[in-house]
Amino acid sequence: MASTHVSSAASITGRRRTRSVLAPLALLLVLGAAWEAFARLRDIDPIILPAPSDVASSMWTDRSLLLEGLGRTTSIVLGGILIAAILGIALGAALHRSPTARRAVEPLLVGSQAVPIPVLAPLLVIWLGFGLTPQLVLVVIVAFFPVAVATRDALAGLSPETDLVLRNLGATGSQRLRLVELRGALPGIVTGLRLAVVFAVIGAVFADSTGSSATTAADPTSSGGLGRIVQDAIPQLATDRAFAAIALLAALALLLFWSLGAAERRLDPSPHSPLRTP
Amino acid sequence: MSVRDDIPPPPAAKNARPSTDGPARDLGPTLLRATGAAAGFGGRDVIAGIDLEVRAGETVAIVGRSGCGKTTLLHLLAGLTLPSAGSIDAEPAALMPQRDGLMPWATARDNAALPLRVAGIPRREAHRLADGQLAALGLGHAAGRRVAALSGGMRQRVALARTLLTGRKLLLLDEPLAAVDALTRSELHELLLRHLATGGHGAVLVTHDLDEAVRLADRVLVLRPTRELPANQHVPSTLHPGPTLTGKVGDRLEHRGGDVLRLALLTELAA
Repeated sequence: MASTHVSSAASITGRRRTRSVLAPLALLLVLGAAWEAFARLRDIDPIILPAPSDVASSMWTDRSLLLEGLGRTTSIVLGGILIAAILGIALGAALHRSPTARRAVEPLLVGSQAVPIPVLAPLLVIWLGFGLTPQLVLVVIVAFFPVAVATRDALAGLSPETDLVLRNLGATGSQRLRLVELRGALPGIVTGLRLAVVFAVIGAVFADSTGSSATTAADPTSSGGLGRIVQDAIPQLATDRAFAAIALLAALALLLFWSLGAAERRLDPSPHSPLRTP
Repeated sequence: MSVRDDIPPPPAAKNARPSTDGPARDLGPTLLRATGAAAGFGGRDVIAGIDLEVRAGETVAIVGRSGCGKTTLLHLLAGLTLPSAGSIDAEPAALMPQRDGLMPWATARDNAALPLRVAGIPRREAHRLADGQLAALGLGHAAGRRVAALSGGMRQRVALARTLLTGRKLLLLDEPLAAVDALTRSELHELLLRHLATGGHGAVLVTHDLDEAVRLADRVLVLRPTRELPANQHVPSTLHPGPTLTGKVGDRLEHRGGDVLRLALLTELAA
């Protein structure tokens, strides 16, 4: 009896999981079919709007170029996110620890986010030279802000009762961080990272599209990332290839976003906020 | 009643240990002495004229209405709030806050081990000691479970384990059983009776539950404003002696004796 119950519960979760995969897939198929039909029936020039089938065939014919671009963009995004995470968490913790630092840094931090990336990208190349460095720096700049803000907010959310216990125990600031606060803030930090990966992908595209035609010239083995491929495909009237690269960018952002979401659920299985005890 | 209100009894009378029929426990050294202490927020005293002595081997219950300053008093005794008047002379105290203050994402073991980790004891050794304490409180089987997955009663046991593992002699408990159901509460009462005033511990237990106070404590004090509350005027609370407790701890609430005690406490509270 008990086992019947368990297996039926498992099948419900299984069904729910299947549905969570099927629903977005179905929507994607419907939209794709509508797009395909629109492009075919109206007989639209594939240079203006390639049909999904054109994009798919370009994805196959240009697969080596696209794969190399995907690899390069992925490594820039992952490297940038890693650095952004370290810097963002450190800054968030510092802002949490010192109210003075918070008041001093916050306006600068928020203001810096209003600087347009397309303006910043060529400047970074001028300042830092060609190559990977300015690209990584650009990704870090766009990605570390959500991490820092999320870290600070998550650290500030520690329950007042736990705070009382720590004060009573006479814990030092670094003990609080190490033994309690950082782990408690982790789900919040991961939420910040989920936003950051999406920003990082956009940052990587901009980083690519500015400096890297020169990068390619300086380093012929490098083909540039997906952003470069998009940038090059448009003047070559290979709109289908541009779309294929964009689809890969979207897939990359989605994959990173989802895997961090899974990490977040593992960290905090309770439905409640991890820090505020009800 | 009103005469006694105007002239607070001398501290000696307040702290006199009641006679008991049961085997009198030997009281150890003084763990806490408050003399005319006052505390509050923003320049306004919530409690004032607090005289209290707690010795090892005794549990003192402090009852009062909500909002009378019970938590402020415990924070004062714990050294988390500085007195605005008078003095507090106390051993380092272990505070068990009103809601448990546990880390819900961490295991029972990690939570119980927190004081040891703060004291600089390595993780492995701290975990070993935490496991021992949890087992002594009947939670050996749940040491590796996340606190978020534990019931209210189990959480309170974890919080008690954490409090005891501070190694401090003076225990300050703020409504420790306010959030658990009646059945769990009576289980935990047994546990508290076994741990609060033993092993050189002395405890101050703040509660609004009269039965709990009578059941667990050797002495009951009532925290309430000294005078009748004049309209629009704030009067700080102070400690008043509660009814004298007699008989064995477990028997106090049985039959008529319990009713008399409750009535006496209610009268004192309403005074």
